[in-house]
Amino acid sequence: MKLSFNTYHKLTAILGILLAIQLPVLHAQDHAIMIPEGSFHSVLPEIVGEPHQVDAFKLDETAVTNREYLEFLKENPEWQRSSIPSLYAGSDYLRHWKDDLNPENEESLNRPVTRVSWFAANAYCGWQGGRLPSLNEWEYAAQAMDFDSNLEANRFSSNLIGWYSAVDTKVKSDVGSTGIENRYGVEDLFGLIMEWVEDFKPPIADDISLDCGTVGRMQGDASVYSYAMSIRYITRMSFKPTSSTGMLGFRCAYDLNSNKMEI
Amino acid sequence: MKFLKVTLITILVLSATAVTAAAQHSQGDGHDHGHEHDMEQMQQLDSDAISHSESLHQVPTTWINQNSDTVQIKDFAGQPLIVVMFYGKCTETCPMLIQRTWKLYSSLSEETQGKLNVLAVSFDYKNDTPDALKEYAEYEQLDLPGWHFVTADQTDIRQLATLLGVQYRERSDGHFDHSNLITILDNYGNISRRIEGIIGDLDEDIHFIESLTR
Repeated sequence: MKLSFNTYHKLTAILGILLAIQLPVLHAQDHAIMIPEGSFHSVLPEIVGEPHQVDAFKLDETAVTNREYLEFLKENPEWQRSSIPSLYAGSDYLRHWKDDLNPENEESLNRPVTRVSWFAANAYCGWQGGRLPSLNEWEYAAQAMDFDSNLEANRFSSNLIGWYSAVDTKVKSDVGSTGIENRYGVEDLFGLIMEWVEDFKPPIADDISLDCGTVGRMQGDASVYSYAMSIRYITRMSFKPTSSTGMLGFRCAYDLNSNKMEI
Repeated sequence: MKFLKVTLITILVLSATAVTAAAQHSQGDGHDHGHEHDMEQMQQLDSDAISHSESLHQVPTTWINQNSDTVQIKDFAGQPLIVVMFYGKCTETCPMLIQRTWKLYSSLSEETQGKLNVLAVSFDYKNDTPDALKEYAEYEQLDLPGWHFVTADQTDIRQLATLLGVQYRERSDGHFDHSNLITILDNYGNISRRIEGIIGDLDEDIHFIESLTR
């Protein structure tokens, strides 16, 4: 079939536009890491003693930085601090930024963006062609840690508990700076910030409050690791979707076949 | 983009109001009734845009109902809306929740029924296709005018649930653990009442909805 000159040019233009749309998506997923399917033991199991099954997915290597979030705000001004409706974010939204398009300072550009509401985190990930990871996906990725010995695992968990009890401060480090990496190369799942997940408040949340008895009642072995996990679950359930602290940020997940072009 | 539009419109309306006011001021006592009317309308728009920033009319999601028609929450602006979240495969509490919604709706006066809509949003984005929702609505004998059984993308469903405070979790057997909640949005799309659980007296709720449409 022979294409007329005109048709050819139209096709080239359309192809160009399609490619341009595709670019940010490809860019975003450059830094995403494949997490193979598997299972893990949750402190909130569906059936006591049974592991959760998780399908393969992709997860950002690091949390979303101020620099990356700034790009999102430039292209999506409705999520800027002065424009965002109170439906989607409280007055603490990006409170530490100088103004709509100016993060705290130069040094903060590679730090994880924090004080971002759950709705804004959702919108960012959608813009990147992804979504927030589900609670089970995040936990599964976070638990894919290899330790040389039980002793090392316990030491890690003890540190973690100390860290969780002090997460109400403000993040002061760049992404990738913790040196903590899971089996697949996903960085800083611990020790930098807490992270939003899609279903941070599962239906059970109403019955649970943060007290020692509750932690004890949560399922899990008696290890320090389970104890740290319980604290993390309970802290996460206490989050409010419109507000966020200086220690709460996010990273995005992607379905394996996620591709906006297929729609 | 929609928020940007809302903001731009707000700014435009504000500046237009200011200009009109300035013009009227310079005209002295301003006998121009056309202008006054415009101004009233603009101020109305203006105050709606500002004071209802928690309105769910801002949710941009396009839902698809059991007749494969598209629906947005803002389509119901000016009328109350009953919102309930459920899933079709549910054989435990959902029929009770949907029946409770029906009990609430059917207890309203006919006049009120004609002035409001029901949005029943399924958690089950995989199985509750528009066809499945049609089947469900017919089975429950609720395929009625004003009743929208809808679906959308997973993230849109989760977002609405989060806005309403509905918690849910998909189980590996395809069922969902979820809160039982009926939410009433007022004419401006604000959450004005939450009816929790699947038992209990609805008299006060009925009275409340009647007062919204008066």
